[in-house]
Amino acid sequence: MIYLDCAATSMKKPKAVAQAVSWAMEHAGNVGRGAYGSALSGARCVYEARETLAQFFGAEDPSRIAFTSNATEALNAAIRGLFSPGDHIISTVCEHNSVLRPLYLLEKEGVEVTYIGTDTSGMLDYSAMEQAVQPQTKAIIVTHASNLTGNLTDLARIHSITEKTGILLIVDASQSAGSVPIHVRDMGIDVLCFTGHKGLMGPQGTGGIYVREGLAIRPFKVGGSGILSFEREHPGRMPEVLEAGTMNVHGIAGLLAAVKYIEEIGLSHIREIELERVRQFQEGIASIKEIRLYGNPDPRKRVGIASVNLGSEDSAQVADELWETYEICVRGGAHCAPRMHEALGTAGQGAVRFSFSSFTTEEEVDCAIRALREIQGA
Amino acid sequence: MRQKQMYYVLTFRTTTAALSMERFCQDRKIPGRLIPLPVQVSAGCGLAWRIPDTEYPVLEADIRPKEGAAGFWLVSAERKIEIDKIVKLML
Repeated sequence: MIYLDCAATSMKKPKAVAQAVSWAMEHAGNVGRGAYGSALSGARCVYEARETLAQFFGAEDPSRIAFTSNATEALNAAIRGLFSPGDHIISTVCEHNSVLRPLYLLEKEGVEVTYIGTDTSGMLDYSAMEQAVQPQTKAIIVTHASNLTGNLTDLARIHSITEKTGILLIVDASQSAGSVPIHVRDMGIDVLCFTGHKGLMGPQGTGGIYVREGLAIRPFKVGGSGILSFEREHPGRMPEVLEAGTMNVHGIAGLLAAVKYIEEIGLSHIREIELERVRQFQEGIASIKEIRLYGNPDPRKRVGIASVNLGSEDSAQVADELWETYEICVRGGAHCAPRMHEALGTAGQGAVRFSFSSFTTEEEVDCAIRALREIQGA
Repeated sequence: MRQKQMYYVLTFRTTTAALSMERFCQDRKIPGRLIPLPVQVSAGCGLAWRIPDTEYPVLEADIRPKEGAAGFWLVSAERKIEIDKIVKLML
């Protein structure tokens, strides 16, 4: 089996991740629900994960990182907790449904949203973004990297808009965290939403949100907090404000081990390997007849994703043939990115997404290239 | 029941702040430990930091009252910890 669906989840993970999950399942009690040994073991593990991620993303301090079950929950927390009817938000057609669907809910409640378009390679129209700012605009919500094309967003350019206008910059880092460097304070990011199980290589069911100091989010989920139990309102301070209910300490222990692994081998090293694999794939498929690669042709301006189509073949069937005949795992279809497909003109066909990680080998990429060549008969 | 002694008890608005205090004290080799929030301070659950009263002056050196609000800050080069209350108790 050749796994090339790392944009869906990093199935191949450092060994330390499973070991940490196993350790937590045997030793970690419920975080913040007791002062005895196992409860404190769990709490210390979660605190260390906060510290490590705060440092990894350049946050002010560990309390600015709240854990969520995935990026979708983090994005819902931000999008549903920061705006009111009458506000205006700028977002883009590059977004995943985890951004779009919460925005559609807000639109029903009286928030206006402008979706910035792209050119034919999926590159954002930054001038239109700047022109879209209105007096009632409160935020720009944007993905750091498209989950379909892999195109990296020019966050420095967007920060120049948010800095000038005083609006919030909310970033979906689902496809970039763990693949490219992110420093929230240097990059002017007010809210960063991330998943733990893709580039960060932690277990599924983990994710988190960074919220800049001084910014308050109304929680959409309230309940048990382990503190201030007689107050009728959920505690309002970060990170507990966004962490109602029992935490996924087992997953967070795995995420901590994963981020420590990334720090040990170096993010730049990971990026280098991913770029090499994408470059190898692109060069290898270039001569296949009627193949079309989507996104910026320069792999340095993308994360480790390469989405293609073979002529007018249904992407789902190509993905299925890759699995059935070659045991290659890729993602066909719409990738929960309907507006991106519409912008690329692939709403009917979808696309076959290959996505690589630092665990992908050159031989695996070669097999994928050969398989595509055989399928297309060229 | 165990024999009671005099302690200073520091309480927090978040579990994260309590854990941060533990890390601060461990780094500085300041004695103490996390305990369940005593009901004499509040009935709201949570973790508190307990330090023998004789050792408290070492910790106190880094603690400042908030300006214009109830509570305290512990500020060091590495950490900024919000403290809700500081209470001297027989526990």
